[in-house]
Amino acid sequence: MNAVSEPKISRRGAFMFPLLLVAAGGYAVSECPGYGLGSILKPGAGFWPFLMGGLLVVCGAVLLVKAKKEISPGSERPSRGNYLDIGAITVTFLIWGVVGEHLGWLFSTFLLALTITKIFGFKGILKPVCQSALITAACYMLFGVVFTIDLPPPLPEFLFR
Amino acid sequence: MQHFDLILNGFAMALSSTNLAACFAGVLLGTVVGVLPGLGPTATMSLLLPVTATMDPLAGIIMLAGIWYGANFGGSTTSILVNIPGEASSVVTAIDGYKMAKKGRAGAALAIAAIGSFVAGTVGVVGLQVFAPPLARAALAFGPPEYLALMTFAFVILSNLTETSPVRGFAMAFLGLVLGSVGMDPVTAVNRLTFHRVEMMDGLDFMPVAMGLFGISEILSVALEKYVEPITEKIRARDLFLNREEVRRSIFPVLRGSVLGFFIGLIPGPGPTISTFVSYSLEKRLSKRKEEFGHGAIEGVAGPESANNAAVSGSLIPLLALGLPFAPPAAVLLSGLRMQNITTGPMLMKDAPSIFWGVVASMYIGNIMLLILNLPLVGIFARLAKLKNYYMMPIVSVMCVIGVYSVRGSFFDIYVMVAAGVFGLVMKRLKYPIAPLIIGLILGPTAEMSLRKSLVLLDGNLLAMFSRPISATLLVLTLAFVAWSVVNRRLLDRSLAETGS
Repeated sequence: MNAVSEPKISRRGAFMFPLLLVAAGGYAVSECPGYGLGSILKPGAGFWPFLMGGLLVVCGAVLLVKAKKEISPGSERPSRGNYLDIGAITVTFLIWGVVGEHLGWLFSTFLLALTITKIFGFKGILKPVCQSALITAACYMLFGVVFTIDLPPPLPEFLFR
Repeated sequence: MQHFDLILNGFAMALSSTNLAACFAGVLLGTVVGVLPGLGPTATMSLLLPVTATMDPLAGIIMLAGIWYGANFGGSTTSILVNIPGEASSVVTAIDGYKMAKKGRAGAALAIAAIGSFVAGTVGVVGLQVFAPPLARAALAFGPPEYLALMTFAFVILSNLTETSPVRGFAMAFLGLVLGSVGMDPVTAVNRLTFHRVEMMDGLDFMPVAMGLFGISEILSVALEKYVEPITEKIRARDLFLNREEVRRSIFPVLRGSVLGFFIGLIPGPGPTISTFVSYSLEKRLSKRKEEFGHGAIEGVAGPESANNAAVSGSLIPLLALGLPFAPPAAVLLSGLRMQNITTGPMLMKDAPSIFWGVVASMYIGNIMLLILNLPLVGIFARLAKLKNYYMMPIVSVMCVIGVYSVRGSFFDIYVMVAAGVFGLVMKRLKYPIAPLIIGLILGPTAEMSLRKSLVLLDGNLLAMFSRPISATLLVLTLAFVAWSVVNRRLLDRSLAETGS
């Protein structure tokens, strides 16, 4: 359970996000003529994304103009440690596939569960390891045995050579 | 008579052991996610999409629907006992529910929340059963201009119903619509906005985006916030009995909440949440004991808790009758239907009546299951609120990656999910609404085809939509809503300025 708090909206955040929207819309608008805009009577492949991208640019620009008003000190300021946690969680998710491909998805799933367990503050070694192993086993039963969903090899292939 | 046969058939299917088990699993999971703050029904439904895809189509849809309405049932428990709402639709319940708990009437508050939810859930399903078939028949007359007008109406309302400025809502809707156009154009087969990646030629899959925006972003935002040990009020079985006065005071709020919630559920947007606020203010206005509101009035629990449950059934009508989801959980349900190769929209009731009537019948059964689950087991569910993040988050994380990978066997989808998760976290912190983005993504291709076909059909003159009765009505309603919204915001700003000065 987590505390309900108002997040801080920094100057950078308030301006960067609308800028990102303008950039995304602008990219769509710039690419669409290449797909063929067609005419109003017979719209081409680029017509719709061009229109939506243009409207996104307009909205982003309006938000950019109003961005100064959005800055708020908030009641909650994440620490450097919090951001490191976010980075660690993101990297763990991203490497699940790479690790799974070489060492099997059971190992990568165990690693993911263990990392998240530790990041969220489970102290000690044995209990987090047991919990992660249990989660991995439950996943294997659910996805591998009960629902037989296609997944990468569960164990490293070199074990079976 | 045919209607009666169809619903009987629905019951025959819903009562099969597989479908009963799916219904039970759905409502139980729904109650659990309703109790747990953070992880909402949309994320849970997305997590289970790959699992339901391997099941029998009807069982899979029954389970997904069960999670949705079950979450509204369970959301009240932590609102009343811990003063922390499990769901956005239970925020209002905390106002008087927690005060009742403080006065030693937690049992009565929980009981009326469960009974009200049951009554409203049942009223809502009756409404769904009565209104959806004629609407689907009427929708057979819809052409592309009508669909375009309906989607314009939906996006305008959806973007306006945000807690901050409507421009943010529109920006997110347009972003969703742009993302929805990624991939091969269905008419000309030209690849659009794919960055020359083969994985994007089929378009951005809905599931990794939904899982990222609702699941991963939640994990990341939990990592940013401080953990607070909740203090739970204790509850005994004998406390669950309502006294005569409480029964008398609850009857009409429950009935009013049921009807109100159902109709608010029909409107695009977060129907269950909005219905609770409308119901609360209505009950306060009608009550002879206005001073009790905010200090433990049972009407403040009975009305909103009934309204949010009835709203779920209302939200199912546009999805099942028109094939248009106007709320994020409905979008996931649509994705589930598509994964099962079930055609949604007006033809659903003709081509796959077993799905429609089976789901309707299962909702009657599911509501009974929820009543049985929520009253005697409320103490156990309340204890779930104390579950530490390090137990919950690893399970959610693992379910997210395996779930997303299993749909297309693609690691690329995991990268999309993580990117959507980080984007979702930023959106939450900067108070940008997620609902218009996700609805835009799923409705994008339909909206695009409707516009292109309408332009061809109307010789490039979209104003001709005003000459067709249905599209004209919808466009006039949209314009009226915009006008009302602008005036309302001006009045609000003026009153805030006057209060400030």
